[in-house]
Amino acid sequence: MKKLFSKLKKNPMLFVFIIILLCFTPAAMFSPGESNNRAIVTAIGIDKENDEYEVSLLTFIPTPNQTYLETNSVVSSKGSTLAEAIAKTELTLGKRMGLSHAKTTVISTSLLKDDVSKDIDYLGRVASLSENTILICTDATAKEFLLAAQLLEKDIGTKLDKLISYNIDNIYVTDTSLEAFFKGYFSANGSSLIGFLSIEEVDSTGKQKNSSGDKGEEDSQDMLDLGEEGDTSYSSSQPSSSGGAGGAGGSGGSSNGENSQGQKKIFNKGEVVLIKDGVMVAKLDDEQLYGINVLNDKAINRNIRIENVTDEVYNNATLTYQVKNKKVRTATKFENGIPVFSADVVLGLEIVEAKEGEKSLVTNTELNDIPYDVALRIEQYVKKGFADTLKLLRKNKTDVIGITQKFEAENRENFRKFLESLDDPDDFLNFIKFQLIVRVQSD
Amino acid sequence: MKDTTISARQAGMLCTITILANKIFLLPALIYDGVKSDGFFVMMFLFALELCVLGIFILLKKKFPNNTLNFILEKYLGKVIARIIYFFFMMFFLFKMMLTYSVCYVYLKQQVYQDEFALLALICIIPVVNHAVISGLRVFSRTIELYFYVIMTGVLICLAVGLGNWQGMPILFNSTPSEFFLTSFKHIFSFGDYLFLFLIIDKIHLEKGQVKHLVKYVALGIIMVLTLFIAFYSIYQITAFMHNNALSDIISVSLQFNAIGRLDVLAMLTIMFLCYFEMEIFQFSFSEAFCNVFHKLNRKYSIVVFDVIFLVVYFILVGRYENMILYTEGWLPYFSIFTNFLIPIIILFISLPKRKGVRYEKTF
Repeated sequence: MKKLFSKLKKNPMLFVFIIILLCFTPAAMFSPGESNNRAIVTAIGIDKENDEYEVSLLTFIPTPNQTYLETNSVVSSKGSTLAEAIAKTELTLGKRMGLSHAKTTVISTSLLKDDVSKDIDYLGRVASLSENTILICTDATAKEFLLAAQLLEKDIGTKLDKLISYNIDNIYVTDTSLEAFFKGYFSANGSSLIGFLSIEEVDSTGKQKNSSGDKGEEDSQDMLDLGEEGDTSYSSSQPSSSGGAGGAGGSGGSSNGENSQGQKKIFNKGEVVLIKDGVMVAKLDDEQLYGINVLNDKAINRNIRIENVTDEVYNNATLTYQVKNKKVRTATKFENGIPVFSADVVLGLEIVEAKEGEKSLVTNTELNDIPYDVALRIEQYVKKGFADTLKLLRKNKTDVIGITQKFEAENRENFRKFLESLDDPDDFLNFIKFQLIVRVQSD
Repeated sequence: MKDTTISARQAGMLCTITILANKIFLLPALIYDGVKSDGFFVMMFLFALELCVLGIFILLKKKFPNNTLNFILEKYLGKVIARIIYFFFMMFFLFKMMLTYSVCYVYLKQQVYQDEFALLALICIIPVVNHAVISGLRVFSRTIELYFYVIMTGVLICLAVGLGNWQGMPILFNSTPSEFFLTSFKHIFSFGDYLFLFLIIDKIHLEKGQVKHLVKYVALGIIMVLTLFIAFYSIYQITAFMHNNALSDIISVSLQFNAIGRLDVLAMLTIMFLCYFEMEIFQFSFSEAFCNVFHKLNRKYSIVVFDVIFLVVYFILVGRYENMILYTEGWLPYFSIFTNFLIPIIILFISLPKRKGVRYEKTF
């Protein structure tokens, strides 16, 4: 013992170390577990009504159980700012918010009527919130959306993040995160793209009761039916919108979705929302999104259907091709002072279905030739899709296909002079000549 | 003598650590705010100037292989000017330490422990740093040598992940010359990486042919910082100004939604080691300068004085991290002009070889 003390005396840093241990170790040992103090938020929903924010948080509650099902709860509160609303939610839950796992942020379209960047400024500043949290817009309230999402796992064994993950990989094929939104917002053109998922009420048979979207009966589909339009519906029971949730005056409340009066589904139609300077300017359907992705070489998971094909092999058949690979080369130049954007798109296609009237064609399935006429029609289809989308982008003065970046990188001086020569530089897309070459080949 | 000296290799490692100091957190974002992606060129420009300072050090070391800087300065400039120069060095390293502490504290607060407060961070940092300084240059250089490859591996992994998230070449040549030079000037306080070498000039065992070791490690540090800048600007592009912890941000960003992501623990460990070692170098440099300003006081006094001054200046005058950043862009660049460039230029004149008198002889 004496030796130990004499050693300690010689090395005073050991004393410092022991003092630090004595001060902090008991405090750490007797403090409660982190999950007791912190609610794990997996999705954030933001609504705004009459200048008052309602924040809904889909929180994961770590509870020991014998199944793989997670226990989630939606908690919401109101406040004049987001920070205030979240603080009130913390009061309701009796826990601090842990936003590190918040992978999704849902905003309602009502927020996109004005510059949404002011509304989500809080999210940009919270260091604990990952910047790759995905921004999703919905036509219902964000709270309704989260309540529907809450029961996804229970009903069909999927989770909101899985659904969004699918969309990102296969439908959007572009970054729709909070970071990407800010990148677009701060860009010269101020345009960005975020995903859109609608909420629709359905009856017990899965048919639509009254649509809050813009399509009618055709949207009523069976669950998990991924059709040509890419619609996928997920059923979930919908609690009453006021049932225990979001007390007035920001007092807060919570709901676990048990008191449902009807059923609401999250409908995934592969739609996106076009945003200009933080304001929603258009909702793009699956076809229009495809037009945007024509120049995106990663966007390959796509079926192209060609009807009424008649040649030596087929007789009035409907052929479905899947894009298996895509090569895109783009170039910019100025011709007599006019900016020209040219793109060469090579599509590698594989036939995945051939239908002739009612019966399927019996042909050698290994044959994958694309008839000349079909190739021509596919080229026209792709060109038309791009042209239609370009029309929409021109109308809304938005550039979400990276035209500005391409010109900035390759012809910066000429492009800046060109922009200066315009009365409205935002309208530059209308003055750019586009040349699109589409080549179709079998994969 | 041998007990207190360090090898050229160890000196090179110290240089790599100081080059990374302050440049892996907020600096890329601050520079982006001024000149966009041309921040890469700003860094190249400032590094080029810094390399001149390294050249001056090598010249001085060649001319005075075993003398202290104090001896050299007193011999050529007199005692008073020598002490003034040391005083400037003292203040320079005090503020350098404050800057490193500030950014490190805010980083750890954001990423590790949100309930952390400045004094708590100081309790964790100061005893370790003080102990390293008391132990001496040779001891903590040896420690740095032991951990050096761990740190470098951490930085390289962060850079590799960052480059893996490459989003395309950032758009360069976007700033005007005035923006370029103004931004360069505003951030010179984050440089001055080799000044500590002058203070320990007599303690570096630099034999003939060993300069290459020094240059090798300096080049390593510079390449790492430039790679970090280009990866950071490529990933974040237009929103680079919003991200305060460059090294951590390039590794924690996961463009793949739902990915496991958040490998930032690697950046955390690397940054923690780096910050500790950086602060040890800065405090040791302060201590060296202090002992040369106040000849009668030894290193222990310098450490106590440093701790007291640090507490008083940081917690009363600076107060907040934001103020520290404001100072580094406000008045500290003017101060750095003197320490980073004027003092090395004075030393350059001292280290230049004397011109031999040319004698003309009559040929007829």
